[in-house]
Amino acid sequence: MRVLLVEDHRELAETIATVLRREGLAVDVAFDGRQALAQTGVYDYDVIVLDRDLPGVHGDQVCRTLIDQGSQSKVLMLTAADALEDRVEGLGLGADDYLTKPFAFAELIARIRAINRRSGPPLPPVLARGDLRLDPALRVATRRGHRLALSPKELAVLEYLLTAHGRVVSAEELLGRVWDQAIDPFTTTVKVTIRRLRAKLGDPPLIETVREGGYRI
Amino acid sequence: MSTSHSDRRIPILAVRSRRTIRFRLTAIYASLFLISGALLLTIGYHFVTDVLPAPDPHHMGPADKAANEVFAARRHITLATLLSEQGRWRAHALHKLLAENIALLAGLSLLSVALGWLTATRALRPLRRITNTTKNISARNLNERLDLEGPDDELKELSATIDELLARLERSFQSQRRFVANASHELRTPLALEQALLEAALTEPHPTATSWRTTCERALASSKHQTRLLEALLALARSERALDRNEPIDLAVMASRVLDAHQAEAQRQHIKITAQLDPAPVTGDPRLIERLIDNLTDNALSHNQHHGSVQITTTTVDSRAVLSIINTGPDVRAADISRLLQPFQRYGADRTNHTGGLGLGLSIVHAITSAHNAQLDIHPRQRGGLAIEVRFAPQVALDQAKTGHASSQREECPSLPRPRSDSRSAASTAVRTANMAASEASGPRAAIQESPALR
Repeated sequence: MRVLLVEDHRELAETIATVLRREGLAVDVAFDGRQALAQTGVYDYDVIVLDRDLPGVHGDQVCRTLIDQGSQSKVLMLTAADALEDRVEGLGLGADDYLTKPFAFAELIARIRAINRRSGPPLPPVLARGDLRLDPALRVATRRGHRLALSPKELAVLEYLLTAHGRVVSAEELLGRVWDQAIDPFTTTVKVTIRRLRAKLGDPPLIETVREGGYRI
Repeated sequence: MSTSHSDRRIPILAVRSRRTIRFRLTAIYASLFLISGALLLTIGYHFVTDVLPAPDPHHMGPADKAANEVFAARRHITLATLLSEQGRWRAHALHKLLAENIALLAGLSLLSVALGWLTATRALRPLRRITNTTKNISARNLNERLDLEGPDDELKELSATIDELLARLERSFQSQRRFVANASHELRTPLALEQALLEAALTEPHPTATSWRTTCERALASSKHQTRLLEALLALARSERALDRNEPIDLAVMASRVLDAHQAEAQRQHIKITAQLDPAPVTGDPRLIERLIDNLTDNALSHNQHHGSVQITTTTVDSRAVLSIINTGPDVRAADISRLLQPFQRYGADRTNHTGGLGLGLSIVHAITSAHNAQLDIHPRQRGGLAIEVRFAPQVALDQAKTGHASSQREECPSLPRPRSDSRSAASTAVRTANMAASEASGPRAAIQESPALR
């Protein structure tokens, strides 16, 4: 899942991004509204975590612009203003969810996952294919009841392939959804990760390679 | 029986007290009409009585008597009969006049009551609108206005006055709301950071002693920031209420103490502080005054440039103690000055600029000067930086002996450009010596030498 985190407090932004990345999310960071809008023009984000009190272009304005542009990204507003009016106003601007600072990471991550689930076709809380099970909330994947020791990225790739419902997913798409902008687009990371994932999933093979660089479960 | 009686009386009283102005206006209108009508009719009646005198042969002039005799002879009656007929006719006419006058007065009075009631209702209708609208305005819809239409009269004036009051209230509510929003942002962001840092450290898959140490250091820094913020907020709250203490203080002593505390900082930034600290007695809260000078000095140092300068002067002009701080630094637009006095507003960008400053310094200064009835003047300087002057209220009761020589010197030539003299130079002894030499050359600095600032 590709996430854009917009937060003007640099230290806080970096800390949140670190934890979210550890959870297997692909996180880009923007430090002000202008940068956020520039980023959303280039990349297609699943979820935008938006601080409301931003210098330059205000968070409310960012939210409004995204809605006007018909953005498909889900917006989670993260702010210090917790009065009832503020929350109602924030949701009224088009935000999909609202979380006040300070927050617990468990809640932030759960909410990001929850609003992302709403974007596509309805997804079950536990993804399954054959004898493979993946619980996105607990970050646990099992095969035949045995827990698989997957890295966050491998888990994210597996999750993305499972949510594609048998559709062919290209390497570029995986790169755009599972990795953040820090990744070199000409890298073989995807191929390497898939190879490792296949090895960990064991037999019978689940991930199928489709001609011209696509994968499918 | 008695209860039913009292029950019946309450609504009447209620109606009366509710429409009291309308009732009173009607009563006044009707009674004025009644009095003036009665007066007019009485005067008219008396006039008619005077014009038609009672026929009396003894008090009649010879010409009238002759005319009446001729008239009586022509009608073949005696003079006495004529006179008695005339008397009867006169009495009848006067009686009729009186009766009709009374009836007319009664009728018109009733009409005047009705008209008075209608007029009062009409005149008071805008007042009722004002009442109803004002009643419906609360903190949530303070943006509503009466906007009374109609002639430019007293009621319109009242409505305009209420509108102005509402505008002031709205502004104050907005600034209050902004303050709360800003304060919660400023307080919650470091809390969120701390929580995030600690959670991140606890959920780290392969923690090392170094990474934990870094987290602790960062959390500690954030905690210190919060402490400073809370202290500043408390200082703001304290300085906004009336003064707890009112003691005699010398700004020069206070300023010298504050400058001592800032020496290291100034030295680090290579900023040269020049001070001319003449006695400047004031009465006030020593802690607040110290905070005032401290904040201004801090401001002058932190919004300065490398190898810049800060010039601090305390003096007494016309028995008013004056503190002035002038610093070099980045350009500040004159339009931004009033914004900077608002809480959580910082130089440069808006309040979310995290440069380490709390954005409360000048707000606290503003609150302290207000609490001491002092006048705060902030001007941007042409080549960047600010010139800030705080003029305290005149010290009437202060002993002249204490300030005599300093103030007399100023009074002779209040606009005299003050020669710069050292007292504390940030950089080094060399600078200090150079300044001392300059001060000796520039004239009598006895006041400074005696000032406790140099001790």
